[in-house]
Amino acid sequence: MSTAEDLALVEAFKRGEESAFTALVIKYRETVYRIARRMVHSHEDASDVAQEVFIRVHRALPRFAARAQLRTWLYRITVNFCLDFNSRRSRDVLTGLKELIWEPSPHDNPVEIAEQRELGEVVARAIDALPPRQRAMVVLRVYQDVPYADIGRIMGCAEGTVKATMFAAFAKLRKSLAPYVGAVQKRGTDGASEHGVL
Amino acid sequence: MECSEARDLLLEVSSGTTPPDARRALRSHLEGCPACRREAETVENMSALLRTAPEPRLSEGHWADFMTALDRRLDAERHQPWPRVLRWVRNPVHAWSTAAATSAVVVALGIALLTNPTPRQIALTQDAPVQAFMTERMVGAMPAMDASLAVWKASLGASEDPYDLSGGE
Repeated sequence: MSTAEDLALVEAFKRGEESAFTALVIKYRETVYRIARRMVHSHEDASDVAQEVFIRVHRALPRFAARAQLRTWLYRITVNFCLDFNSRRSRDVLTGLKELIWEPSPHDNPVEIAEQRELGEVVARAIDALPPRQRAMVVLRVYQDVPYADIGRIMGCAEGTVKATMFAAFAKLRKSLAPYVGAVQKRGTDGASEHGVL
Repeated sequence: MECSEARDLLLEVSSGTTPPDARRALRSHLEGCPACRREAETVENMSALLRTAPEPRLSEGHWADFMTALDRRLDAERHQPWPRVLRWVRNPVHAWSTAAATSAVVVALGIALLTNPTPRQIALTQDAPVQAFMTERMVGAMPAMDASLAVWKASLGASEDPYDLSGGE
């Protein structure tokens, strides 16, 4: 995602070209929705959050300063809105979790599908059980691959705080997911080799 | 690199993309530290497990509906005048014109206040028809007020006209 392209679109919007805003929405709508979907508890809520985020972006974009990264700014609006949204709503951990399960392809092995379904549900539930700020940081890091420094900017805290919070979140996840870690090891998921050092 | 530093970095490296130099430094530490290597294995398996959580799937036509709903809401916002005015004023591009307009209003108000004569004072006379609004308690307090008034008038050198307690009846 190019920063220069984002800035060009922002400048065009400031000059009054409404189509530049549409281009920004098309570029970022999926990412905004995915962050929201992992932070709120149903598809409908995530879709509403994404709508509201872009309404706020539309209002605030004329004041957007070019020194900040649009992506970081957009993620900050999304995360803050999700945190507000969750604090306003009573938590219903199980709502919508089933929607996060993979749709099987006809060629998949039914046993593997069942295992994958169960694993996905367990992971989603473990992340959902984290305190809101820890959940936000895990979502940004693990699923959006946002660097620690940027997570600090998004969450309004120092990089050291991000490290400490991630450490605490992983300690909790490690505890709740301990029986399932071996399953991934056996399956040889490529996630470890993609980001790992071993 | 110390073990504590390596374990801090381990989480960052295994949970997402990191600069190659940080990755290299960690790898060289792990080569000589079996304890950190065991920890690295656990953390990497954990991260891999987290990535097995599926990406949300969206129905066909979801984004078309999303864009239609967003357009409708933005259109409704455009027809509300005040938010538009506020946005225009807040826009840094319009900062100078907003500042100039505000200064002009302040100066105009200042000139108006300085050049206009002060409002005429309404003189209260004893003939004012206030009697109708006076209660018995007010009339009872009058002698004390009368004495106070006499002292006050004497200090200002005013004439000692008798104060009509009967209200001119």
